[in-house]
This record gives sequence, structure tokens and C-alpha cells, in this order.
Amino acid sequence: MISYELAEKILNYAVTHGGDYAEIFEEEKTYSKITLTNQESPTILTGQEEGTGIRILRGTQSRYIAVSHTDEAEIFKMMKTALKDWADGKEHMERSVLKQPEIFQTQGAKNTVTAEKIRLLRECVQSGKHAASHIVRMQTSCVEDCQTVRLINTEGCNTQDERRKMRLYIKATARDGKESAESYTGPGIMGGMELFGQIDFRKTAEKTARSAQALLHAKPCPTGRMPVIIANGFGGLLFHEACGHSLEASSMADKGSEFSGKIGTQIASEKVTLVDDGTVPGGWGSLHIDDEGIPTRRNVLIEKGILKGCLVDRLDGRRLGMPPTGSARRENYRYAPVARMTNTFLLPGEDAADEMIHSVTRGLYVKNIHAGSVNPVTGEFNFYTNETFLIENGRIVCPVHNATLIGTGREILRKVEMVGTDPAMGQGFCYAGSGAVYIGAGQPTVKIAEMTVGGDEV
Amino acid sequence: MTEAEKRLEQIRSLTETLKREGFQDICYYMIRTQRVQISVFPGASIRQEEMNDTMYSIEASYKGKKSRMYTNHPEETKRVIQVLKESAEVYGQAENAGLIYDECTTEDISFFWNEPEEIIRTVRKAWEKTKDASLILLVQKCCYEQNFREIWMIDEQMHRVCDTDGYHCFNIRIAAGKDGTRSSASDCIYGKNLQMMEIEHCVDRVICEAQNSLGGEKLVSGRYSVILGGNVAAELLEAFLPAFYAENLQRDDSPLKGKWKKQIASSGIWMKEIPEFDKGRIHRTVDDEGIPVTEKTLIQNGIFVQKLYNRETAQKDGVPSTGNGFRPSVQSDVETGITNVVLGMKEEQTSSRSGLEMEMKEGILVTRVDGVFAGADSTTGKFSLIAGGRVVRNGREAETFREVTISGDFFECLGSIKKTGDELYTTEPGAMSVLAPDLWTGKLTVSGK
Repeated sequence: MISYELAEKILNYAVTHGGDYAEIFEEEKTYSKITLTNQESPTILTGQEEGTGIRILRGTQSRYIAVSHTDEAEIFKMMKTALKDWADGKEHMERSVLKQPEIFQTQGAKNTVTAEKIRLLRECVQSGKHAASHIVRMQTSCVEDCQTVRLINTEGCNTQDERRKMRLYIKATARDGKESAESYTGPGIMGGMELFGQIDFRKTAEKTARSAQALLHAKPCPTGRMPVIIANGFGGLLFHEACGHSLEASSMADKGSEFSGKIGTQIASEKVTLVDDGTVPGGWGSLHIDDEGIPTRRNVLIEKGILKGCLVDRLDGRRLGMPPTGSARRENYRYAPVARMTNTFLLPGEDAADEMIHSVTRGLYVKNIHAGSVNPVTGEFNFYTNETFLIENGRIVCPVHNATLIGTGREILRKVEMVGTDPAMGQGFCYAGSGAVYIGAGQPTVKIAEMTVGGDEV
Repeated sequence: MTEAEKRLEQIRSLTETLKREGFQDICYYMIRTQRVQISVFPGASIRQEEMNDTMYSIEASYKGKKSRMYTNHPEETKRVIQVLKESAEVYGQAENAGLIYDECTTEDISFFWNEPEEIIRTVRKAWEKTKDASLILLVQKCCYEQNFREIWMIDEQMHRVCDTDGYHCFNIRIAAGKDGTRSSASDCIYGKNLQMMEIEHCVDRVICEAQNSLGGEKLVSGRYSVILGGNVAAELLEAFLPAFYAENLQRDDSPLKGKWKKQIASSGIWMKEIPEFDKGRIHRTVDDEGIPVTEKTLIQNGIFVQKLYNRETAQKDGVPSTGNGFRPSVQSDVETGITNVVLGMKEEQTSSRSGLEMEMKEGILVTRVDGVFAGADSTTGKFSLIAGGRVVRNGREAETFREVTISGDFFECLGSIKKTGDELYTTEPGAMSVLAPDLWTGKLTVSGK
């Protein structure tokens, strides 16, 4: 780790050589992922990383240096090169850095035993295999990730955050002759082995296996415009893609988003209230402080259809003229931070999920979402479904092949017709400009009046 | 002592310590990455990022069991020993015991670094030209990256295989607007130095694409004759390359299972891996298992002639490795990978884009797809993706279309290629290095209105 004295020296150099703000992001990370496929020998991916990212701002210009060592001479050589165009600087740093860091820690069980994890994974494999006869592969993994970051900046901040995450992955593959189908579940928390007490992992494995088997003889998915009901949980990825990314400062600045300049206006159905909250206790996407050292918070993005705000980091905040919202994130020290989502979810409404299904003459019921992406400039998004069913005359009639659902954020937000009373969260990763970050996405069951479905039946 | 000598000394010392602790068959894989990235953002603000990062993967056997870890601080020996011992509790019997490399040290590191000032001037010029072009709303990203990697593989006897790899990349993403509608386009090119990069051509190409993509609406759902734009073809080919990997063929997870030595693409189509391809991004001389990387033909005249092997999958089929054992990252085990893959067709079956449109007469030109990472399934060959482009009517580009999905089978597309374009497009950094021209293929299903 960089010493307090070296940190002050680096920050002082930055502001005396043209920077108006500088920060040091130090990271130590340990990671282990144990994987068990069927009853084969388990494998482990494990390791440790340490590194430092130094960022210096001058107005809307920035310089970023990432190193995996703490070699003082090398760091100053890189800083000298990076700052050589910025001649005029302050005489010295105006505020001194706090000597003792403010420390945040993740609650929950520590010191997990490898053998215990393997035992739990074996139980998951067995439960899945017993639950459905056509399962040919049960793959399970247990991921433990502990990232400790320290933020020191020229505004006096010296903060440390320990972020521990635990996740169980279960993937079931069913095969019957030439047909094969997969289903996947990935519950995760900010915390430790208590995850296995919070969920019934055997039932989760059984459910995943049964889902894969049920999809084996799915029918072709219809194509065209139709109503779509998205089940509660990770279905919230719809809102993550349809408007979340477009409300990040890097998109909102300089008219780069379809929602630029629309704060205070109605952009969605009155049923839509969307929140991004990095403080959710035990949340997969939670952090105590963001990657600029600012405490995370609950940011209301859309309230009853009206756009209330966006997610802002320091640098793009300068482009937007807005203060940061505790949303700056990065995968690790190799990336400069930008505003990203944490746990993003739609607040519950008053509609019953059953009523939504009864209201559809012909449409889709999407139980699981695989992944998606968006182009914030045009607002065009897409996401790929996993477990999908055809609804006819108010009843779910059969599973269909996976489909691609597309639209634009502005269109879909207005077409949110019903919002359920059954909120739930899902866990995943978001890949964007500052790398892969863990995110929560959630919603109650939601009915979209009409969407374009890219199926395989013309 | 040079930096390389210091690193070697550190590894030698760690090896001795590990041996004393009872570890055997120790080997290392190291990557040192140096990257300088300069971007111009709206308002002409410059963001400059520089990285100097070294990562190690350490593998050994401990009490007959495999142990493995990654770290960027091998000097923390106590921690290394502890993690390696813990990993041995998980793994079963050690395989590949005693991997011995043939010493092969390439000390000739010939990567060319352009000066930041020179790059800033060039990127600013490209940014200015783009933002001043008609209908252009915003230059979201105008970025130049120099990336150099030094790769070492070292066995217990300190035999060392060294390789280097580097590229220069210009990457631009822009938005255009007219009458309340918006479009976006991106492009990227690679080279070995700033001077050999055709940046102006890339800028012209992306401006033209953004302008031509403005407006438009959904197409009527149905089946359409298609020209896949080169960037779309490259992106799709990248997604389906795993179908050529022996591990997927062996596991029955490839749509090419049982098709080796059979026709999988139209006559005249070829696909090669070319490690030294100037416009490619990856220039390796050995793979991550120390095996020489050579030029090879995967598809010849439409016939699937070469599977891609690493050591392990080659052993299963009783054939030599093809030098395609690569790690997706230092953290990962060796899997299968490629350097640069180029798709093409016999010269007499190539034409300019307008020539292809003229011959197709009626159909669509697809210039944008998104969500390939999720909507393309390399185990079945199927894809379903959001798409945009232009309608081709009477042999010419007519109105724009957007917000539709195209779906089909990639290998059916390869088998239906009538002609290809005469210009290569490439994938963006982060993806595998794949280059492809426009492909005039058969019909695809479009879901629109």
C-alpha cells in the first residue's frame, strides 16, 4: 500500500503541476471461484491483485495513471509525462489529507472453508440431477470476492471500503436427442457464507434443472409486435437497459442521451418510479462509498413518470454542471471511474400478476432475462430472454424459444401498462466503459403494452 | 540490472522457496501490459490514460495435486504459498506434470511508440473534421490507443519462452441528427504505428455511415435478401468462431460437429488465421502454451479444413496442437483462441458495396447490429439481433430502416454467400481480431411492424 507520506506527495505534485483535483485509488483484491461440473473433480480460479490508480483533473480534462506496483520513481516519471502540458499549478495543496482513514466494512461471515463450499456445490449438483431426468450437465460455482479500496484525494478525503461478495451460480443443461436447453440462476449478496442460509440452495438447483427440462421441446417464438409480461426479479434489467444507461452522466452530457435536457419532464407512464440505490443492505450492487470516495445513496431517477435526476461522477459532473451522486464505479484500478448503476429497481405498483396474464390475448411471458445492451444516443435497446412462454387468451400455454426484445427507452417507458405488487431483485454484471461491475436489477411483474419481438417464427 | 533481469531473479527466488515448501513442476505465465490511450471528448477536452501492469499466473503440483493462482505481487511469497496450498485442496491429480519449454527468448522488442503530442494533434484533427461535418451532433468518442504486451512462459528450470504483441488502434463513435431523429455509427482501424493508419479514410467512412443512417422506420416483418455490412459480418464471425474450436466439437457443442472436410460455406469462400496480418490486432509468434503460431486455412473453397487445437484438445484427438492455446486473461486457464482471422472470397467473386447492391437489386443492407454477446449462440449457429441499415431498391440504397430484429443461422448465411465486398472491416478492441468484407448472402427473417 502507498504510505500516507507518499500519497500526500503525489497529490501535492498533481496540484502544483496544473491539476485542480487529484485522487489516489488503491485496491487490494482476493478472489476465488470454485466450480463443480456434475460429480467431476472441482476446479478453482483464485488469486490476488493490488494496484493503484491516480487521476488528476483540470476542468474537464483528465489524466489517469494505473500501476500494479508502488515504485515511487516510476510513479513520478509517469506523472511528469502525463502533466507536462499543464505548466501552471497552485503553490501547494489547499487541504491536507485526513491521517486516519474512515473505514467501512461488509457485515457477514468470514473465513469460509473450501471443503464446505465444495460440499454445498455437490448438494446442488445432486439436487438438480434428481429433480429432472434429462439433465446431462449441472454446473455450479461458488464465487467469493473481497475488494478493499482506499480513496485519498485533494479535498481531504481518506476513506477505506471493504466490499465482500458471495455468489452461487447454477447452470443446468437438459438434452433429449438432438434438442438441448439451458437454464441458469445466480443469487448473490454483499456478504459471506450466510448466502447459503438466506436461500434454499437445493430448491434453487431443483428449480433450475426443471426449468431447463421444461424448455427442451419449446416451440418457435412468434415474431412481431405484441404485449410482453416480464416476471419480477432480474427482469428489471429491462429498465437498466431501456433507461438506466441513458441516465448515466457520460451519456447525459453534451446531448449524448435521448433523455438529455429532459429532467423535470414526463418521460414514462405514471406507473414508473425508478430508483438506483447503492446502500441496499446486503445488495449485490451495494457499496459503502463509491470509487471516488463519496458515500453511496438512494437516487430517484424517475418518479411517477417524471425524470428526476441522473447518475453523476466528478468529471462528467463538471461537463453537466451537476454534483456527484455517489455513483462513480470501476472494475479495478486499471480503469478511471465513471457514473454507473448499483442496485436499480422499479418500485411496486398495485396490479396483480395474474390479472396481467388474463389481460393478454396473444403475447409473451418472460420469466428470465439473459442479457441486454443499449445505444444511449438513439435509445435503441435489446435484451435476450431465457425462459419464455406464449400467452394465448389469458393463459400461459407453452414454452417458446428464446427471443430478442427490442425498442427504444422513450417508447417502452410510456408503454408500461401494469406494475405488480411482487418486487424482487436479481444479480448480475454490467459491462461498460469502466469495466465489469456487479449490479442488482429488480422489479415487480410488469406488463408492457407492446414490444417488438424477434422470434424465429415468421 | 535491467527490469527483465530483476523479474527473472524474483521468479528464480520464488521457485527456490516453493521447492523448499514441497511444490514441484512449477511454471509461470507472465504478461506485462503497457497502454497509452488518448481520447478527445466534447469540448475538445483530452483524457489521457497510461497503464503499466504486470500479472503472473503460477502453476505447480503439491503433494501430487494441481495448484494454481494468479497474482501481480509474486514477491509476497507467504501469501503465494498459502493460496497455492489452498488451491491444491480443491484440485485432483496434477496433469501436465513437468511442463518443459524450449528456450526461445525474443529480446527484440520492436514496438513503436508514437509521442503523445503527435497523437493528440492527429486525434484532435479527426475530432474537428467529424464535428464540423454536416448533420453530426456529437463525437462521443475519438480515441487512439497504443497497447504493448510482453508475454513470458517460464518452467522450473528457468527455460523461458518470450513473445511480444502490440497494436495501435483508432476508434471513433459519433451521433448524427436531423428533424428530431438520431443515428449513431462507430468504426475502428488497427496498425503498427500512427503513420500507417488510414485515419482520414476511417473518419470519412464513419461520417458517411452516421449521415446515411438518419431517419427511417421499422420494416414490415418478413424474409429479406441481405447484404451484411463488413462490420456486422466481422462481429458475427467473431461470435461464431468457437464453433471451430476442437473442445466444442469434442463436446458436441458446435454446429460444425460432423462437418469437418465438408462444405460449410459457398464455393470460393476462404477463411484464414494470419498472425502477421498488418491490419490485424494480434501479432503473436507463439501461443500461451509456447507453441509456434502459424498461418493456417480454416475454410478453403467453402470446405471446413482445419479445427483449432490447444495441447489438451489435440491430445484427445491424437493430433499436434495448431498453436491456438490462448488464455482469455492471465486469471484464466488456457483455452482456445486465435490471432487474426480474415474472411474472403475468390477475387472474381468480389465487388464494391454499390456493385453488390446493384446485383442484389432488392433487399436490405444491414450496417448495425447490437447485443451479439447475448443474441448469438455459437453452440447452435442461431442469432437474433437488433439491427438497422438501408433498404436496397432497384439496385440502390433507398430509405433507412431501424429497430428491427434479424434472425437466422450464421452457417446457413456462410453457405448462401453469392459475393463479397472488396473492403475489410474489423472488430473493436475487447473482441477477438476478426476482419471481414460485406457479405451478400441469402434471406434472413426480419421482425419489425
